[in-house]
Amino acid sequence: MEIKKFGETALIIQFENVISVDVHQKVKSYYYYLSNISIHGILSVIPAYTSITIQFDDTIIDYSELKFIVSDINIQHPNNLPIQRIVEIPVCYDASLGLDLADVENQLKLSVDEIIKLHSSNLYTVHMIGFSPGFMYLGGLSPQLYIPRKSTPRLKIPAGAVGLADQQTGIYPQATPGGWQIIGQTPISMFDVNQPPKVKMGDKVKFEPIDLSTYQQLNQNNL
Amino acid sequence: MSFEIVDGGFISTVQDKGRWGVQDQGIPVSGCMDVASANMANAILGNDPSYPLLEMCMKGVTLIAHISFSAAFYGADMEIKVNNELTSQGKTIALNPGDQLKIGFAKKGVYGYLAFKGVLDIPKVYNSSSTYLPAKFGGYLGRKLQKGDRITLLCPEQIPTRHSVIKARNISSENLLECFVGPEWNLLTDQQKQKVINSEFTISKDINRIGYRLESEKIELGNQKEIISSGMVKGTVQLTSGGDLIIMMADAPTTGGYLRILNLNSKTCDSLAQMNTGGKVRFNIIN
Repeated sequence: MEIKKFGETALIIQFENVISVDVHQKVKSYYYYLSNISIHGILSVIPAYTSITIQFDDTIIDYSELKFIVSDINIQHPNNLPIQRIVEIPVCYDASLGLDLADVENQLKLSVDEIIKLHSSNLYTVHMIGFSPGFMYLGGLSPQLYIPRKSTPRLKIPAGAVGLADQQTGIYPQATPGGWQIIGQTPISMFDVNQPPKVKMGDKVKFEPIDLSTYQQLNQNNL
Repeated sequence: MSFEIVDGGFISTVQDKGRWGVQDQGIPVSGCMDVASANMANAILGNDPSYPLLEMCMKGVTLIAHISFSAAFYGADMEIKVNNELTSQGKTIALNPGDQLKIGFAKKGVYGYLAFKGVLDIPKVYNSSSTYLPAKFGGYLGRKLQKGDRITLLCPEQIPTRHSVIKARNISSENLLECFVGPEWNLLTDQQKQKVINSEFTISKDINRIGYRLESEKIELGNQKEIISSGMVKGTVQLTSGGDLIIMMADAPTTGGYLRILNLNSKTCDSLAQMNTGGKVRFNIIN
């Protein structure tokens, strides 16, 4: 673990630079620890795959003070490990919503049923949330579903679209341009400023396949 | 309702000190692009720097007052008229019912700030009034201001001018950007580092509240063109896999996957925000 200055008013805790369950556990422990003890002067904490960025108010705390506090954190004690939540997210894999399902079928030489089974049977780890509000970086995708991004990104991917890209799977919380292969859609909102966050870094995520009529019903309830 | 927008300008939004503490949800900080100018506009009226104000990009708003209050403008060189009479930035402007305040195109600089004596009655989202346009939340209904918008000021007040006119914001089309080395600076070869330090960069057309893309001869990267996604802050200079530099600004995503080679200090982010397409910059590492 290395603590480095990151610009004028931030520092970065860099853990071993590989994506792994072990490193994730470390990041998670530090992140929950930092969230629970509120250190006066910390403005924001950004946990990522192998790092934590901390922004601070330099009129309250300076880099060397904060570095001292952070380097003194002892996370060896198992009580510091947060409770693990499993968040179930309904996904409809109907062809009308899985815009790239047919392409994915062809490229991966898998049937739609096999794709759905592979995608919805794994328990995924939320390594981090970033890129845009509520966007989860999930670990644990079945290697059989590894597929390159689309060569030409879509100009608009609808909010709630569930996609595959390289070794990742995820959900677009907002309608944005993007190059992921879309295999389905969730009717629930992944980011709503009026609701508490649906998922947090460190949670586990499970996709629950639903049919089109259930999707439409849940989608209606959401409006 | 205290005043009504009759012309929304180009991209005019409500901003404040930003939305802190929710970056772990992927929510950008947002807030003013040129914090120093915004603070000055508030300071002229004796407001705390936390007061929300209007940020106007390239062209200002025109509003009609329905009650009496004071306002102050600071930042880009925009023409300011009250009932067709020229006034200037850096001073208290008294407005009475029926008065029209018109803020024109920026002749120099990009962002102008209009502060009010009284608090803009804008609901807070995660403890901030800042507008974040990409996800359509915060500020005035999560969008830029347009004709017909009506805004209320809480505790509006007209105050006497308490000081002489503050000198206009210093704006230049050339800038030496003060910066610290970033987390991936040492992944660059000496040759690449020299190129970053010794080159002059031109501000491209691709500039907005998220970031400023610079143009220059490409900086060819070796094998490592990306990193495992990690945190970014305002002022982070990313070197893309294509060899271009992007400086992250107020609405920057919380994380990114390109090399973070430098970080501008906050004063430099402010002055960069006032630079437009075609402006010339160089980097000056200060640590």
